[in-house]
Amino acid sequence: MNASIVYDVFHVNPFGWVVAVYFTVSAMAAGAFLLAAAVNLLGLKGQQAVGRTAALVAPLAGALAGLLLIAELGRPTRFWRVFTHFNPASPVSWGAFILLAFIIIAVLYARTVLAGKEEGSRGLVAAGAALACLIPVYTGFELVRGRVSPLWNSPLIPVLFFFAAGVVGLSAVVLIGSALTAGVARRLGASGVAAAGDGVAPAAGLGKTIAFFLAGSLVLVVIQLLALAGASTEAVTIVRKVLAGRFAVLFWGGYLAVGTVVPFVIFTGRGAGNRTLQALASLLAVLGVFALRLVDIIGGQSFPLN
Amino acid sequence: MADKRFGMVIDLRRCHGCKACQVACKSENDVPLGVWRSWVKEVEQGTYPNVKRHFLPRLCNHCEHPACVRNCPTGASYKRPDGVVLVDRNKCIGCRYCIASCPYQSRFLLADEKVADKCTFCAHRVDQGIVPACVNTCIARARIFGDLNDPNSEVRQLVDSHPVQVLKPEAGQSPSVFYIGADDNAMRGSEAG
Repeated sequence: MNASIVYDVFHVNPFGWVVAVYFTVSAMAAGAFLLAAAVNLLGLKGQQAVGRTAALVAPLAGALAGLLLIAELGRPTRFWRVFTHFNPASPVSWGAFILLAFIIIAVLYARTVLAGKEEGSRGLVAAGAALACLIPVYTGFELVRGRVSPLWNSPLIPVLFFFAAGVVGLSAVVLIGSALTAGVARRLGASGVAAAGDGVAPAAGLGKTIAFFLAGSLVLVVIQLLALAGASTEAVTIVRKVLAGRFAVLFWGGYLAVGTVVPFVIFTGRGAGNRTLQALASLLAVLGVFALRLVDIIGGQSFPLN
Repeated sequence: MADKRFGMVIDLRRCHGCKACQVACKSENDVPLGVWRSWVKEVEQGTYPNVKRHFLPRLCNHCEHPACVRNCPTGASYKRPDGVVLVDRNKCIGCRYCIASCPYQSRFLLADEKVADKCTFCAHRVDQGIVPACVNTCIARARIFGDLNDPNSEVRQLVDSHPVQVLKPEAGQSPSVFYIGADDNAMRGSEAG
């Protein structure tokens, strides 16, 4: 029987694009630090410049994420209250402490890197890496434990966010590394820096690692959408909106085509050796993750609950 | 106080959608323009000439296991021993996670103070032994308020003697607002139009 809502009040969605930026930037911090940690802990020879670039990107992105989080509050001057009350059931409570601890460790590690003493800081790196792993997990849990939304209440979300951290973290290092001046690149230990603008050459295999994370993210997204397509009426409504409704351009164009397929082809194809193409692919990959976060966050709130 | 658990029964066989409750709530609590602590949703069903209109008065469900309280990072959202869920405006940082967590869209951010707000079950009245404004104003006596833990209360007896419904039982919040005779389409989060 036909039924339609003829009167209801308007509800403003609590989360908007700033939260999508925050999720993307915090993932960038986590992914970059994990790359720095991998270079340090695994002793990857010849990758020191990449590892050092990553070690500098991580605290900057982490601090930016923290500032975004504070700026997004209705009462930013009260942000300190999250540190005077710990609610173990709240992902936001956990996140505040995790992000703060991560930023402190990332700053300390960046200082040791700038001082050229990163060899003796394995404990610090290991602690930072553990916190970096928790960042995409807690941000994912913020959605999982949030609204009763088919797009949010999936156990795949924290895993998807972890893969996204791999994409944006590594891409940011490639992008920023390529933009560094020759002088800075040499100071970071980059070899073969011949001319200004050479920057830090992406490590061999870094592009392919990003491609791996891109493919992993896509597999998880496909699994999630397939699972939802056969679920509740609300879930089917959201999947339709993502695939053929108001989020279709963002999903197909922004996330899939521009943000996943094009960078994947560049990172795995003949463009893998071209620094300009790699930088372009990295930029597109970051934008792709941001587009998917927009779909997740805004799409997840795009239907009336009751 | 500790033994009480306040709740509400909304008997939709009596409700005729006058929205006096919606207005009374606005007036009693100085609720700003554009936001509502209580409102009445209307759903039209059928095809002319066989058309029915259903009403669904809405408010915070003062859940027994409220997601808003569980997720609040500062303890600003809390549940009193009598089951009333409130927001301490001095502790709220305006992170909006409680708004995102509520499966009933009962919360909103105050435009001026930038803190979360919602129905309080008119706690300031209840503490004085007076029923909430929406209950007081309902001319059809569709809203009944009382102590769910008191076997002699009208609200308890209605819950025990009628096939009551709650919104989104699958959300696991155990609401303290019960409906009698609610229409399934009105209860669902179906899209307008």
